[in-house]
Amino acid sequence: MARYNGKDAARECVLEVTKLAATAAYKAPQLTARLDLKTEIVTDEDQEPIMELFAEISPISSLMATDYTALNHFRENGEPLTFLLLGADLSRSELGWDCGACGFETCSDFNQYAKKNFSKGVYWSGPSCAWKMMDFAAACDFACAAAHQYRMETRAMATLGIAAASVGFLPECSFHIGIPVGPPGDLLYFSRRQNIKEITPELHRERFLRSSTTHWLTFPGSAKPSLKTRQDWWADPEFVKWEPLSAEEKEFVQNTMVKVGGVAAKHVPAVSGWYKKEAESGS
Amino acid sequence: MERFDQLRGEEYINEWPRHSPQDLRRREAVLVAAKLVLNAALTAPVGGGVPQIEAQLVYGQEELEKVARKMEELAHTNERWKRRFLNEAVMVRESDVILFLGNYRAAETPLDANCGLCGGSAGCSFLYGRRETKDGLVDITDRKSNTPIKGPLCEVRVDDLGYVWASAVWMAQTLLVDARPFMSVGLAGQKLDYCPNSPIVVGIPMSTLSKSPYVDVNIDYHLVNMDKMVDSTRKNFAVIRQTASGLSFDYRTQSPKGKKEEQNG
Repeated sequence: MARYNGKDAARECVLEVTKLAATAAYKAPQLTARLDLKTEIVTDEDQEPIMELFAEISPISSLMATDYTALNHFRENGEPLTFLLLGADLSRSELGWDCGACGFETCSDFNQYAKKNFSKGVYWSGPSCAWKMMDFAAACDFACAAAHQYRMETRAMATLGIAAASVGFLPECSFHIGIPVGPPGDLLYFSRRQNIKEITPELHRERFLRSSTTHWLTFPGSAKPSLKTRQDWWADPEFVKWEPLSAEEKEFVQNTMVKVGGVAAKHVPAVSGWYKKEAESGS
Repeated sequence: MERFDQLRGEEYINEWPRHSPQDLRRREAVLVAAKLVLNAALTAPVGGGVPQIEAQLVYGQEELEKVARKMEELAHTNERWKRRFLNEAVMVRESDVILFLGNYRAAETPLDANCGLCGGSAGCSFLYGRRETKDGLVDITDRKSNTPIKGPLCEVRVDDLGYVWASAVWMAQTLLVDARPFMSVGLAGQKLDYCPNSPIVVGIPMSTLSKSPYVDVNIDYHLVNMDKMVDSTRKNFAVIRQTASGLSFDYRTQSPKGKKEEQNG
C-alpha cells in the first residue's frame, strides 16, 4: 500500500510513542543510582478496572472527576489511548547518607520506622526517601518529555496513578504516577472541551468562593467580614462559617469510599494475579 | 543600517589552556545554554502548577572552587558518601556553570492533602508533628538541625523538585551540553546559601569539554585527575630538564651527540 491515511497513521503511533516514553523513563538521570523503577503500559480492555475505580471516586473529588471525564471521553469515542504507569518503592533507603530530609536522623532510623509503620495515606504510601523520590520524578519527567518531543499528547497524572494502584497495578510500589499517552491532538489534557457539560457558571462560582474565599472578602474591619457572593453583595450580606462536614455529607463520602473499596476488592485479586503469575514464570 | 556595522568579529575558541580568553569564550556559550536550561526547569510540570521553585546560576573559577571545597568539607562528615563527594568535587572544578534548583515550599508550605508520601497513614500529621507549628502554620525560623537537611519535608514538593531538575537536564541533553544532577553539589550549594529559601537543593554542573567531566572516572579520582596530572607534570618537568639530560650544557654551542653522529663527527 503506497498511501496512508494520516490520521490513522498518527493513531497507530500512540503505542509506539508510549514505548519510547518508557524507554526515556529508564534513561532519566539519577541522584541515587538506586531507584528500582517499575513501568507498565496498559491498553484497551485492561484499562477497564482503572476506569471503573475512577468513576466511583469522582463524585467526592473534583480532581479525580476532571481527569476521569477526559480519559473516559477518549475511550468512549474509540480514540487511541494508552496508560503508561510508573511506580517505585521509595520506603527503603540503602544510601546511608543520613541527610535528614525524611525527618529521621539516620537512614537506619528511617528504615526501621518504615518497616513498622509503612502505610497508606489518602493517595499514596509512605514514608519516602526524598532523594529516591526525586529520581522517580525524573523518570516520569523524561517519559513525558519524550512523548512531547514526538508531539504526542500526554500529562503526568497523580489521579491515574492512584486509580491504577488501587485496583492492584504495580503492587510492590509505594508511589505511582500514571501518564496517559495519546490521542493525537493539541492541548487535549488542558483545554478539555468535553468537560464543559459538567460545569455551570453557578458551580464554577461556588467552587471559587469555597476554594479562594479571601478573594471575595469585604472590608475586614469588623473582624467578621462578609463575602461578596452576589452582584448586590451589600444587600443581605452572607458570611464565612466553618464547621465539620454534616452527617449527610460524611455519609456520602463514606458510602462513596465503600463503593470504591468494592471496586478495588473486585479487581485486585485478578490484577495482582497477573504479577504473581509473572513472578512465578520469571518473566 | 549602521547598527549592523558592529555585528562582526572573530572569536577563537579552545578549551585549553583552562581559563584563558579562548576558554572563557567557550564558557560564555555554556552560560547561554545554562539560561535556556533554566527556562526548561522553570516551565517543568509541578503539582497544580503552584510556584515553588527558586534557582541560582553560579560560574567563575573562584565561585566553583568555593563549591568544590564545601563538597570536600562535607565529604569527610560521612564515610558513606565520602568517595562520591570527593569524586564529584573534581567534576565541579572541571565544570563551567552550576545551576542550583531548590523548592522553597518543601518545609514551610506543604501540599496539605494528607497524601501519605511523607508518613503513610499519618498523613500531614507526620510532618506537622515533627516541626514547630502554630495553627497549621509551619515555623521555620529555628534553622538548627542535627542533620545536613532539616526534615521532614513535604514529599510532593520534593517530587516536584525532581520534575524540575529532570526537565533542566533534559534540556541540557537536548542542547548537547554535558550536565548531571548531584545531591552533593546541591547540599554544598545549600550550605553556601545558594537558593537560600529552600530546605532541599539539587545542583546541576554543566560543561562543554571534549571529554565529559561526569563520566569515566578512575579510582581515587580526587587524587588522580587532569588537574593533578598537569600539576605533576609541572612539578616534575622542572627537575627532569635538569637531571634527565645529565649535566647542563650550553645549548647555543653544544648538543649531546648520538653514537652515529659521534662516529661521523
